[in-house]
Amino acid sequence: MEAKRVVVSGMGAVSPYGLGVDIFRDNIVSGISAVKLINDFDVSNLPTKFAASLDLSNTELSRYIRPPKAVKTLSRSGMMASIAANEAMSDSGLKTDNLNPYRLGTSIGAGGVGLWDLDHSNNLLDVFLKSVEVSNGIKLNNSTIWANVLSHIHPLTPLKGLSNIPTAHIAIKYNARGNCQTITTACTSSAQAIGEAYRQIKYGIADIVISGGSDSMINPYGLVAFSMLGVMSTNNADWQTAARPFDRRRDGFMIGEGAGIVILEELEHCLRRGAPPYAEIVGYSSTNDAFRLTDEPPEAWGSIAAIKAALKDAKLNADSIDYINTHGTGTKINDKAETHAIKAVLGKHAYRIPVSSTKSMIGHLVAASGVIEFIACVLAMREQIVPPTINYLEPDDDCDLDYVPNVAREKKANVILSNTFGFGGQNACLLIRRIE
Amino acid sequence: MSNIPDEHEIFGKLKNIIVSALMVDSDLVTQEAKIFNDLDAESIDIVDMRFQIEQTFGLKIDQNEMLKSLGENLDAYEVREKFTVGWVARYISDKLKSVVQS
Repeated sequence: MEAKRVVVSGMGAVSPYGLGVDIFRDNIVSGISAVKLINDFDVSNLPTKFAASLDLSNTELSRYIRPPKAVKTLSRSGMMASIAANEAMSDSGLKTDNLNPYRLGTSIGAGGVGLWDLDHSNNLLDVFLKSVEVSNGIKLNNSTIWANVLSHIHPLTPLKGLSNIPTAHIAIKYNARGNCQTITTACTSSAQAIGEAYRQIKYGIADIVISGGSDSMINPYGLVAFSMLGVMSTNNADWQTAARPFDRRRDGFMIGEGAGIVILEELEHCLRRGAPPYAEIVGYSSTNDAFRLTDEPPEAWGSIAAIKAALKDAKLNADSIDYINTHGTGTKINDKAETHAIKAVLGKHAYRIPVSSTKSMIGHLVAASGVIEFIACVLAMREQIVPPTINYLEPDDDCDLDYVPNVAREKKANVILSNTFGFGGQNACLLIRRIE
Repeated sequence: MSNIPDEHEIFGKLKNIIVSALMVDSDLVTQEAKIFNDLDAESIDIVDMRFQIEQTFGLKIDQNEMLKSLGENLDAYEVREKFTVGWVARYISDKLKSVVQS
């Protein structure tokens, strides 16, 4: 069977700037940082006190959810996915009544979905405190704790915390009866979700896949988890500019939150209904370093293999790439390794093209980083402006490419590469091409 | 002196619970309203309702036992017909009385 061509026909986003693709685009093109001091919970005893958080409470987000009842089983991250899906489907112009539901699927990247959302964390801690026995000295009674959890924590909480619930809500809302999946591979989750959706359409399994992902870990559990691993910036003194990928002074990533959904559609299906596609996905790779859980392998062999594999899938040479949106977390290791990988694959061409990190502005959206940066790539292609790497003031000898320092740049990019690398040695690369 | 809420108060609190759990308009929550058929409840909504009833009235409710007490050997259709707001209000009232008596 001949491989089908796959295009992006709709997009939706929830970013730390707010709801919608437009606000995302306006801010990244203007080089605006979404960084804020964390004030939803007490971080005085934690090493990182800032994040790129969305200034909307769960109650405010819940007002956008349809049907309203879905809120009961949607975590903060799940609500973001739903809102982004709503925008993307509306943007695509697709009417679900006209679609074969068995050829419509979902493919959503998810991470720490909701088990440790702020509300739930606080409720759980209250239960722990109630479970203290004082009769024989102060002692926590484990058996009582779990009995109290059963009695006092809302029984739908486990559903909120299940990683496949966002995809389930999207499938129900849009009557997607085809292959619906959730991918949890840390930072590569939503990039892989898009890539696997692309493969399903390419190989004739689906006509349309609602794909992307969401994540929201700006809560005590998320902050503590990443702090334990020593990967977040602790530059609280300079928090406004601490997210500085590729800069010599970088000390880790800034965490963000949000969601992105892209509607992937078979090209002919899209053209038949008269919808203008945004871009064509021409290449995807998913590889694993098979080395260690968090260390980069020597000479970045995993990232190199991933970029090469995406180019091979696209049947493109490395010098056809016009812009790279990097994983660019701002950790010492990633930025150096990624720079090395780009140079290893592109050779001298690496020095001729812009290479930037959106994480400098919106932080690391973890499971949603792949999709939100993919959307940044589609926007860059459509609008012919590449977003900058902000807070870039001091070059690093190990990172010597053109990172589009601080100011966006006009550039007509016909082929764009989006890199995503995650814990567990996961690598995912997506290539898009201009479609006229 | 009994401190069991009267039927009016029970119904009022139950109505609030149902509006919250099922996210329906308050006007639809009448004594005769069928919780599954008229108010569009699904299984997880009953779990939610049960929890809120327990928290509000200080009861312990076994969901399966509650549904079984609708009647012996009822099929799914009959359960959906009998499970009304009014029936749940009476169930809560009976439960509260039996707690006081014991």
